[in-house]
Amino acid sequence: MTERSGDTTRRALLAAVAGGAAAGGFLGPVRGYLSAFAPLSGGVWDAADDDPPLRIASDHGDATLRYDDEAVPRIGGDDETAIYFAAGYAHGADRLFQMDLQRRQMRGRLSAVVGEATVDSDRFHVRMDFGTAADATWDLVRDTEAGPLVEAYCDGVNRARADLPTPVEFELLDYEPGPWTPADVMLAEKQIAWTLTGSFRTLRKETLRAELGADAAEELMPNRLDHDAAILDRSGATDDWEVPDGDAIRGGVSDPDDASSRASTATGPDLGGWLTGMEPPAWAGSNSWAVGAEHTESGDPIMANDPHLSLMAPPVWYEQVLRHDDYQVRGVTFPGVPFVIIGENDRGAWGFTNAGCDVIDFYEYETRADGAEYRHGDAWRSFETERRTIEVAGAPDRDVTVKKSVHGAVLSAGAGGDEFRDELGVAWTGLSATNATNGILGINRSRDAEDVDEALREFDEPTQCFVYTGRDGSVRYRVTGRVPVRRTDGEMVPGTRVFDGSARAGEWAGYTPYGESSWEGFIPFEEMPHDDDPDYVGTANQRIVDDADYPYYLAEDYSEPFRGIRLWNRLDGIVDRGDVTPTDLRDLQRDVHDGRLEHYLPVLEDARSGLSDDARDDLDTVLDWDGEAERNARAPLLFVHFLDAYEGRFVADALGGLDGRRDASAYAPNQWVLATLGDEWFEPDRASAAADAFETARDRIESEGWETYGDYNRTAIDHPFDQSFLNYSRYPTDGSAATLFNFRVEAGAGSSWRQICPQDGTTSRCILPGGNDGNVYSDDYDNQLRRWANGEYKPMDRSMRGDPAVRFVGGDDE
Amino acid sequence: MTPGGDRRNRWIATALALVAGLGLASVHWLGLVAGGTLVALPQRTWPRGVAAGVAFGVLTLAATAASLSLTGGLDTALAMTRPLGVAVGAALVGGAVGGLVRGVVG
Repeated sequence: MTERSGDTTRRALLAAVAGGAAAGGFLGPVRGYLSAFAPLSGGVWDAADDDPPLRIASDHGDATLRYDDEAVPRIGGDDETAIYFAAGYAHGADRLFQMDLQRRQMRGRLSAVVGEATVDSDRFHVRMDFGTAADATWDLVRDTEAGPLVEAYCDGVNRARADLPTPVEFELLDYEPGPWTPADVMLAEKQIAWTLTGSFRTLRKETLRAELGADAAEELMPNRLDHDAAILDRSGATDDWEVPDGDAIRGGVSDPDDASSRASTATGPDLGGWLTGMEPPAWAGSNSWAVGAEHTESGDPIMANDPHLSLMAPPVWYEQVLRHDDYQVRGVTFPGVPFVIIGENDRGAWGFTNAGCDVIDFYEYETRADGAEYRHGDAWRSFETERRTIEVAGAPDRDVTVKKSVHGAVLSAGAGGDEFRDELGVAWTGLSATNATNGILGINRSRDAEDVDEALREFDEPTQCFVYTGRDGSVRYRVTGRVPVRRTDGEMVPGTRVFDGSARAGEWAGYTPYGESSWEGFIPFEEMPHDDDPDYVGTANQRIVDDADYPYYLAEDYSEPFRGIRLWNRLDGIVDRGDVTPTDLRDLQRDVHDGRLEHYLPVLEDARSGLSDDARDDLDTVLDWDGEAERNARAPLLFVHFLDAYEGRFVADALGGLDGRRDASAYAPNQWVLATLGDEWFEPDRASAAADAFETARDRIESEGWETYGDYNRTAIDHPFDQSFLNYSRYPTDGSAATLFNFRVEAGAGSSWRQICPQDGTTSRCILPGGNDGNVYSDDYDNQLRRWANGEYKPMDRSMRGDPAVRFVGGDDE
Repeated sequence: MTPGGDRRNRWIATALALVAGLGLASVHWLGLVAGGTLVALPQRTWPRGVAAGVAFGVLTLAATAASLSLTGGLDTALAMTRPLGVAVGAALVGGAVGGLVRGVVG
């Protein structure tokens, strides 16, 4: 080879390597990674600097946005639309990815960016068609007082989206968020409403009835639990509430089919499994209480609230302060929603706990024409159907048929066999247009309890226990939301079964899915459970009112009452002592007594005979325990793992009779019921099962190397991506699933916001489980987490302090 | 031209190429390759060109770290194992690939 030809060959080779490498990067699959992560130009690094411009032109008027030292936006302005434009900007700057992810989930578009793993979720959300329900809701809200404020808010979100670097998460998933729309705001309302009121319990119980028998179903899933800690009619507290006379019932109340004798049909394993996977967790609950002026040291009422929701990074809530000439409000909202949902204004404070009302029903149909038509009374109707495509990243797209009846969505899956129910109509109040947006706006603006009463008339969803205290000394308790009166042949019936939709059984008058409802057949506002002047009130998702004291069917079941019992006992004691202070209510919010201990003492005692000597020592540790779920103790570590193992043993022993295709654990009774079940549910008996469970718990604790409860009971709050740099740090904490200081380590849930609000003019206190800024680069990404884990609080003042971040200027100058 | 004058000219050209390369790398990841090429061209031999390209890549990493440090985000960035790995790989490989062009032109 000549020198020249060798040189040419080398040049050609180098050119090929250089060109190939550059082309490979540009055209190949690594292109997205390079765009996101390359030094200097990578979007992931750009996201570190998300400071907004100091001055921004706004079509909505002048406003100022400051951030305090906890990254809480403090927004002031003369005009509400200017304020909500700025609020939208702050939400878009701090939580845009979270907003988009939630929107994608509810619209069934997660798989388009996440891939195959979320196809089942998308299929469910598309078929429920929450998106159309949100559109109908915006159609209702658009021309109301809230409409222009929602539009201004969306303008603000989209302005931030255009101004600021794309958040890290979008870079990691390699997509750009679309514009935020008013319908997306409504969709966020649907999401929380579904989280708090969506339930397939009726179907599970029907399946238990069909497969294990009516008696077994009643024993495992009783509709009412035996306790006397109902919210209403508590002596000295809520016993002067006005019992409604049931005007709207007309024609009487009955269950046409005797619950103990009627036949039941099991839900098909495929359909049941799919729906169970999509069901909101049963633990979604909360605490809220208030003490009236005559019992407090200051002579003014005090309230507290801590909603129990998913703990995640960033938090489910976003904290904000809004200052208008007519009202100043501070509290938390869901990212993507303009108005403060839980918090206080300059005249009062409010909070919510889940009520547990039954606002969902299921229907089956007689069909013909290969299932294209269904009988509805004397008429045959065609199901409304629409083909939609679920986009899936990295896998084939999926076609889905959205099917609807007069009741709402029609869901189906698989074909388990003739004996199973494989298709169901679903009626849920949230499928209708709802006006909760104006309800919340009204509460934000309220000047007194009467304003709040009026605002709650518009609060169509979700059904909640609302607690309010005012500067004027007022205290309110009311169940919010629309609760249907089901009728079969003119008589009110409970929603505890799957109805014959073809016979028009269990229908709701005044309900229009995916359209505007008149709600004429629902429990009237005046007859919803309420006490307009309780001495004090305690709500922790327990039974609202005894059935004998209330004329309407309200709920299929309520949560376990461990927290409710503890709350009333502590509140009674505090009020009896008198001169209640905010510190007393703070201590109550930090109460870590686990009432399950007393409930399970007989089961634990049963275990003794089957235990080794070492295990008996541990058992004595639990039996001698005072029930305080504190991080430094060993007894709660043993106790909570015993409960887990005992439930697992029950499922293995008692639910083997279920169709083998089912996830038997989904049919396990709650922990209140589980403690009451006797030898007949265990092999060979309860004592052996309890002893085995205790040994299993000890084995697990030993294998994990845990010494105290705090070794196990640690914050485990992760980002949806579960990347270590996005997840929160782990801190030991107190409390359990059954304590007022609520933390559920396995479920990743607990007190998602804590507030203590005295009405004497002193500063309220609050805390978030994480940080207000969703930007992982921010010091405020998780700056409140350690304080939250330790039961500490920060001031909840509404002053306009902090460094000015943005001046929004009405007009054209920028 | 004297050897000293040639060296000075090469240094000046390299410095100018560095500034231009950093500018290009700030707007697009292909700037890593282009920058590597620009700093490689003034070098005497193509292996030196490749080395200059790699050095350019290292410099982009240092510049990124400095920028993150100014915004207080460096600690967080250093915890991003996978993104960081891609960044280091892109810088070194991009710079080296750009440097190879020195061998193509002579």
